[in-house]
Amino acid sequence: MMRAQVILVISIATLGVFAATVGAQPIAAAAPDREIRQISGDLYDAREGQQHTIFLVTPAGIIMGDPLNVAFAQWLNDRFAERFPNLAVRYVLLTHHHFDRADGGGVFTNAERVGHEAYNRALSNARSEWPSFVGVQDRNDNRRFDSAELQGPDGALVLSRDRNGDGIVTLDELWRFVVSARTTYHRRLTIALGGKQLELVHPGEWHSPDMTVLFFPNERVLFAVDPPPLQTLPFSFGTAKPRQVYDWLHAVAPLDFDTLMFGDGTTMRHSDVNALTGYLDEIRTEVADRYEDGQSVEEIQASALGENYVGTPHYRGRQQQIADIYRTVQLRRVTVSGAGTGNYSRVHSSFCSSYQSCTAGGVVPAGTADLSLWLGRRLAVGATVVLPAQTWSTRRQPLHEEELALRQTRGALLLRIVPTNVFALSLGPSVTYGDAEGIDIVRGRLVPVGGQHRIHERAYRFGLSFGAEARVPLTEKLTLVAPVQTFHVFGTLPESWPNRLDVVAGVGVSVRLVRHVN
Amino acid sequence: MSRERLTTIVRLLALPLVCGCNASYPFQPSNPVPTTLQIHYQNPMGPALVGQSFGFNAYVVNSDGGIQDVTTTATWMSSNTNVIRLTATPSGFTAIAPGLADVSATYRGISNALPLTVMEADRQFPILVINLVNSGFGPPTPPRVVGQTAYLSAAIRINATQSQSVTTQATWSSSDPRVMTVLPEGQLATLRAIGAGTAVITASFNGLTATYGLSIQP
Repeated sequence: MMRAQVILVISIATLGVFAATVGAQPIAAAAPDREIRQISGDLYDAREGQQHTIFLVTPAGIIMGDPLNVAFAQWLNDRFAERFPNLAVRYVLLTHHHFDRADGGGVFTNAERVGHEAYNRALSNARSEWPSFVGVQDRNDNRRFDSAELQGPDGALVLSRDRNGDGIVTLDELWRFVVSARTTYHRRLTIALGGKQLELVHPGEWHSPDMTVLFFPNERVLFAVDPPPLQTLPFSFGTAKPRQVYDWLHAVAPLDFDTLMFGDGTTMRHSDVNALTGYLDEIRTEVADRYEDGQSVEEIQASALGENYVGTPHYRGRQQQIADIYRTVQLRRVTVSGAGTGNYSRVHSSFCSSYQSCTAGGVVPAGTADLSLWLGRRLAVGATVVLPAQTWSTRRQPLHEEELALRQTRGALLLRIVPTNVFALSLGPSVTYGDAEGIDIVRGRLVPVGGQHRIHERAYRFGLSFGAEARVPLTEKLTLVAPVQTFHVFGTLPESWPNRLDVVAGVGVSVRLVRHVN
Repeated sequence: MSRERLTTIVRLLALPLVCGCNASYPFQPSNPVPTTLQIHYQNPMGPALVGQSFGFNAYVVNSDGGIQDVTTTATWMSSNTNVIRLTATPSGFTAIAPGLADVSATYRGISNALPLTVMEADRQFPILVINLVNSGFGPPTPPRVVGQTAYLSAAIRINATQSQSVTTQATWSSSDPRVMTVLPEGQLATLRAIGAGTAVITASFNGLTATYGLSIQP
């Protein structure tokens, strides 16, 4: 509680500093609902109603944030002409494509418009779809918003795009003045102008796939529009996807800023962002660990998870936070296994059928290696390789003798299902590669059919592999495994292969190389 | 995980695949050496008649069981050129006069010989003859390769126009049962090719003897 009070006091103080600064240096106030305030140095906050944007003044020109709408952009452009008559707007930085932010960018005719690489595609899609990010609906499905459908604050926002004043808003009217981005970036983009610089950072797909936050390193300010519900106390994911919230926090928290300013003008301190990120990371790590151990959400909620945060405001929302994370947690692991095994080859009847004496198959020592990607705790896909020692075969009839050494290497792509933490089943396509060397003797026939011949045959056959595995966890990263795997070969057997069915069984260890929780 | 670490792991996993997929057979085939030489009739024949020409093939059986045709490289000889004489290279002979002679072939110090009897074409009756019998469609064909079967009959020719079958009463034998067997079955004698080589089939009846030499190709 004390911590929350401190945060609140600091936030109010920060806003007070801004307000005092603004009061001291107003640039223009063409209308009561529009205002420009200085944030720090040459960084300014421009507001229309509850909508805020940001701009940075440099000796070489102005770098603009979202234009918000055509009228506001024109008003702002006029203010720039008054206050900075020799400076042109050089950049318009679009935080995302939504019409309530990106409308009116064309006012700054000579500016370079910059957005995330997903911006233009998202805008193109949006021009043919009804916006899902505002609380209005085309209830009568007549492909336009009628006046009766435009109620409340969101209705007013949409109605503000009624370009012809008929009380009806069409899709064309909504998106008509939303401009495309000429320059795009992937993860981060630094823009330097007039000795100053700022950075565009993509914080993931929270709210929109093309989101951008603007980081001003010299001013130590981060500007973020439509953020996750960071300021709710206790924190709640609400309808948000936890993964997107984590992506957003992990993109933003490492940036070196003091103040995080949101698109509605509210602010948050970096320390508060870090505190929330640390808390949520610890909760997620613990939930993932226990999820991996097979615990249910109820068991985790009843545990002492997160008790280090008892008394903090976010801890009060712990039960719901655990439930939301548990529901969407993605656990990825990469494991590598090695086992000492025995390989039993079952002799197929056709190999010996026309011979008076015949020996083949049997058990030989083998080594098994496996690389698996675990998708959660119950499913894995992997590649298994079995390297057995070579087998020997001899077969004789009056006019023909043959002795062969055959080494068969088996590989399989396996889907592994893990019903419990100590048992797994696997199934998948396999390929067996065989290399045979030996000699045969053909008597009573003219050379070259008759006589001794060296045999060297290489062949491969596809098949199916099925197996089971007992698993005993030894440490966090090490598991004792006892695999039993069968390999069945399809198609006509090569002349030198006595076997169609092989069983591989043994004991080994599995080591976890990578663990990623998302 | 760093890229270098991942690369190292993949290489370590791939190493056994590269090194451990090949079979290893420790023995090499031995160099074959000739062990025995076989002389084969080019066409089956009984006793040669004066003026008749006939040919032979020579094969060596190697130590590895393979058989080589050395007809053109072997040295061919007759033990009695007054009876049989080499008249066409490499192995064509002609019966000159009645009598006994061996046809021999030598290849790399290995020799073998085939005894032949030459008779006058105008012989004294009665004589015993062996005939190849038509057992199905087409003309009668002697067995040429292992597994083939043919049928023989034996008959006494009393004079130029009369003969009498003695197949069932005759005694049949093969000079080499590993090459050919002969067994009376019903009204005929069945000839079975067992292995490559040369054999002489003999039928005996009341002090008369008939021979029929033939070879099975390797």
